[in-house]
Amino acid sequence: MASKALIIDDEEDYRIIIADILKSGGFEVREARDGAEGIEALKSGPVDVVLVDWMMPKMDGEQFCRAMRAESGSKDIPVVMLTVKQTTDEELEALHFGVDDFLVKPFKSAELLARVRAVLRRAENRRA
Amino acid sequence: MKIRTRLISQTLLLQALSLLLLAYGVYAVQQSLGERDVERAETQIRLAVARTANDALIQKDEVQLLSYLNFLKVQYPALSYARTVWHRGSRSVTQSLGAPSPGSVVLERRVTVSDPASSEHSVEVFFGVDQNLLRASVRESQDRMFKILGLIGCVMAVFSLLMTALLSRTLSSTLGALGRMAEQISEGRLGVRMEWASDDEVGALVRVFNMMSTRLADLDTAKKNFVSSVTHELRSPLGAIESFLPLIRDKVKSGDRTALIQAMEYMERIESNVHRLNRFINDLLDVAKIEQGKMECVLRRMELAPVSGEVAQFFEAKAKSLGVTIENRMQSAPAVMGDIDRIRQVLVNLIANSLKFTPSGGKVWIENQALRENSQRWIEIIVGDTGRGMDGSDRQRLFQPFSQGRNVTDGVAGPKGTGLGLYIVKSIIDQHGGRIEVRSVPGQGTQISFSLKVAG
Repeated sequence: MASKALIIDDEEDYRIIIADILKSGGFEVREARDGAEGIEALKSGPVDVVLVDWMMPKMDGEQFCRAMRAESGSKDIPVVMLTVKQTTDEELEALHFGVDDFLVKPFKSAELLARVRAVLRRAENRRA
Repeated sequence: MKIRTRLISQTLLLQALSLLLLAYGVYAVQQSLGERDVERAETQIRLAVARTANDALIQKDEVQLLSYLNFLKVQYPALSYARTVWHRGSRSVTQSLGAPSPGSVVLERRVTVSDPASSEHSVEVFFGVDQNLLRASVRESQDRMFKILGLIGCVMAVFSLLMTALLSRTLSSTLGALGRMAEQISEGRLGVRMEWASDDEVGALVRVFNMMSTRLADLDTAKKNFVSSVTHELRSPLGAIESFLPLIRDKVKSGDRTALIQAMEYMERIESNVHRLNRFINDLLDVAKIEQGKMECVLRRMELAPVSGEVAQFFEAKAKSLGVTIENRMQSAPAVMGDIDRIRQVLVNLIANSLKFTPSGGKVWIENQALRENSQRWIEIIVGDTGRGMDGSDRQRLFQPFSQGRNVTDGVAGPKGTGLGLYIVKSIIDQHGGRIEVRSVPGQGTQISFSLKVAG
């Protein structure tokens, strides 16, 4: 069965790009335009992995992660944070609010798929 | 030399000078111990004798007079002897007290007191005033005065020295703290503050320092924001382009028909990203010109109607796709003085903004009206919309570069703006000598108007 990915990004271009890559990698994809929509999307159906942009209006990536980790239904779903920030400090900070991996924009298709599959595999191992 | 040392040494110098002056004054006064002081001292004795004699006369007490005079002799050492002569009718009684000491210069004085009730009754007092003792007593009282003066002078000197030391200590500690603060600022720790509650010049200096520190920190934040905004605005479309390209390549390689259609779609997206980059770079160049004061507009006589028609036309298709109607309500107006390319840029910016914030079913329009201020005639051009409008705080930030809050673009169609457009618009209108104004009601719409001078 195909893994279900949720893409949360305010920029349409990136939603299209990520969706395209994930679909080509055999994922089922849903999209949300900001953190608040993302939380709604999590409630409306099963999600195996979340790809969320850091800088977004309304609810940004960090707020989304905290909100998502607070919900019992979604607290174990792996999260890949998309960012244009690249400092180690910020990455370390993000680990505290429950991010499993990082991807710096722009990224290669193969790298995106590899990282998403890696966090999925780790999550499965945890469950097992 | 340190301020503290300098202050204290200057105070010491000043004190030494004033003590010297005081000493010279004392010396001069002593030298000129005048006859008038001696006279005054003698008059004092005379008055005391007269008063005593009068009292005794009223009490008709001869013995009392002598004991009074004896008392006076103790009080005034210069009073060397006294002889009283009582007259009662034809009868006189003489009594004496003391004698001039040998070798002294004694001048005899006389005081006569008579009873106003009976002219027959009077008393004469002859008394000797020892001139040397008189002078000595004058000198002694002066010396006492000088001693007190000297004491006051010394106490004052000590006090002022203490005060100076205290003042210089606060001064030098404040200045030292300010110096350390300036050092911290120069080391890049912007925004440091110093607490100092006083209304004097030092307090004012500290306030200025704090203000400077805060402003530097603000500037630094503004710079960082600018850099991160620019970085984001450049990187975001570039990143999208970079990511689209391999996707297109794969789709073209596959040769699949749907994939090819998708590839075409992606190429359009690349195109719009390139446009976005281009617009942003042009805006940045304009901002750079504005910041360097090189935004120059060449004002020539121009007609407004063709320009507004052209711009309205340009946005027609875009508006239609958004479900918004554009109305060009410009009425014939006299020619204005303006830079036609810049005025076109202003209209394009304003209408693009209006379209961005106006939901489907709304309206965007351009209209004009004539104004007159003193003898100058103006044409006011208004770009209005039935969009979401904005509140006071948004209105205030409207014309500042990069002021577009992320929440401002919430749920707005199309690419995000750069936050530079209205800043450029305002600078252009400023260059034309015109005025730009915003009227807006949240949820009902916005009207931005600018004025241009009528060509005379």
